[in-house]
Amino acid sequence: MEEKLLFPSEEWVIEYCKRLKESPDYNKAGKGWKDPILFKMIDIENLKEKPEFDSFILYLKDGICENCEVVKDTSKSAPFKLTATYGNWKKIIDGKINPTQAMLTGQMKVEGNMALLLRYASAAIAMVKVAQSIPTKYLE
Amino acid sequence: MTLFTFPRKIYFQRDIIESLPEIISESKKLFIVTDNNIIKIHGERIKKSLENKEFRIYSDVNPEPSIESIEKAFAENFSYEPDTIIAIGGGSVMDFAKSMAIKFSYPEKDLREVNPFEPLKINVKLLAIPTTSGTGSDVSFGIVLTDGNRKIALGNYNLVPDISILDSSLTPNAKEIIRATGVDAFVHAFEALCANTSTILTDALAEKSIETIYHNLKKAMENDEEAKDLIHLSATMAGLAFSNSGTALAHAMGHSFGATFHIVHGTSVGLFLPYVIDFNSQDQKTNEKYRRIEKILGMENLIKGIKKFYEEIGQPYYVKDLGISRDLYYSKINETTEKAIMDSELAFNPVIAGEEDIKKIFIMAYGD
Repeated sequence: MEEKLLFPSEEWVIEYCKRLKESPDYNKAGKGWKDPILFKMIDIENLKEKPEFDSFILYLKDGICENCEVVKDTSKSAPFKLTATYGNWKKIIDGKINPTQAMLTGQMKVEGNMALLLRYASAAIAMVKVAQSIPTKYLE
Repeated sequence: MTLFTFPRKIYFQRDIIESLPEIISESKKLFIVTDNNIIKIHGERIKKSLENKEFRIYSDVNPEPSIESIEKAFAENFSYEPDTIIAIGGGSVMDFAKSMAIKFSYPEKDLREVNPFEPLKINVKLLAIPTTSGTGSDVSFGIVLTDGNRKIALGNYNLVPDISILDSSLTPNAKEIIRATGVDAFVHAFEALCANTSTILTDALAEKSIETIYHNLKKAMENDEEAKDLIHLSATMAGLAFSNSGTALAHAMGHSFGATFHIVHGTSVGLFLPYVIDFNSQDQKTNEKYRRIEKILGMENLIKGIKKFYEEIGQPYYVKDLGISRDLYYSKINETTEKAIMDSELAFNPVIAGEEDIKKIFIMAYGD
């Protein structure tokens, strides 16, 4: 049985990037996307266990995750930013909310070129499917 | 979907247009968006029902409205400041009216930036009176506009009309229009059923809509009144379903194909439905839903059943049936594929469709 990786952790982010690169669905749906995305967790001060970081960046290009980075410098940014509470990120990764639903209902806030983001909503679905494939454990 | 957005009221009755003053009793200043054809056929009836109200009519709406035409209309009318916009017409009129509602609320807004993630505060009441039985725009959050040679699908939940008035006495008698708009509604219902944001609420609306359209579209094309009433309501049910679920691959491909070859929307999306059903059947949940529809419609095979239905009503099953030459079609196949892959509707498809998948379907649909 695969060991579960903690979300968020550097190991989880690296594994996510690797699996995105290898995902035929993401390779298809992400073709044409050229910008990094910053993923941010808010409300982490309410968690019993504090994560080492609250953000990470995926460097995505044409359906491939070229690189990833955990963000400890709060001034770091990216053209696209997705923000949600830790609880909502957990729901998205667990498939309890569809990411499009999460964006539409404000459970995940989005910053960036909205028209472009909407065009790549199927890539978001593919990214979530990949995240779901990672054996994951969560903070309390 | 965790958010369901419906109009505040839906009226459904033949000839209810004559009771419009009672329905809009609180409105003082009306901006009527319609087209010249509607004015020609129903103009007197509409004006008579509004004789004690202050109103202005804008009737220069053309099919597949462009962003440019909306900006021009707003520039000509921005000082009017209505409290209510009434859209009387088909999908293009509805989209135009919703766009005008945005402009009256946000004069500087670029319509291309409208998206469902950023709420809009629409400060005019929006009433929709559909005169075709197809688009579902009277109850949906979406708009489809033309930008150059591209169709763009936009939307915002605050654009769902406050009131929808369903009066099938306003719908056309021409069987070609009834067919195209009825097929549009049929596809809406299928896509809403299978969208990855579907729920039992939207499934219930979609299933009943599919069943009713299947059994009544041919009779509606022969101008049977009861059938037309049912198709009119079913189109709105399909609109409620897709607006709270989604449209998907058949629409992404239909938009692209329709914009490239100038084919009417309903005919375009209908053409791709059977191929999309075949593609989406690889998803187990979707496949189960298709099998359920087979039972409801009394079909042994859904795709064959839809082909037979299309033959009965005169809807093309192959692109070649539209008289588009093979050479022309294939010369544009990269263009249509690229447009389809950029369509945001793809996000709702139950199976992720890439460039190769879409191109394959375009090739199959020609009918070689």
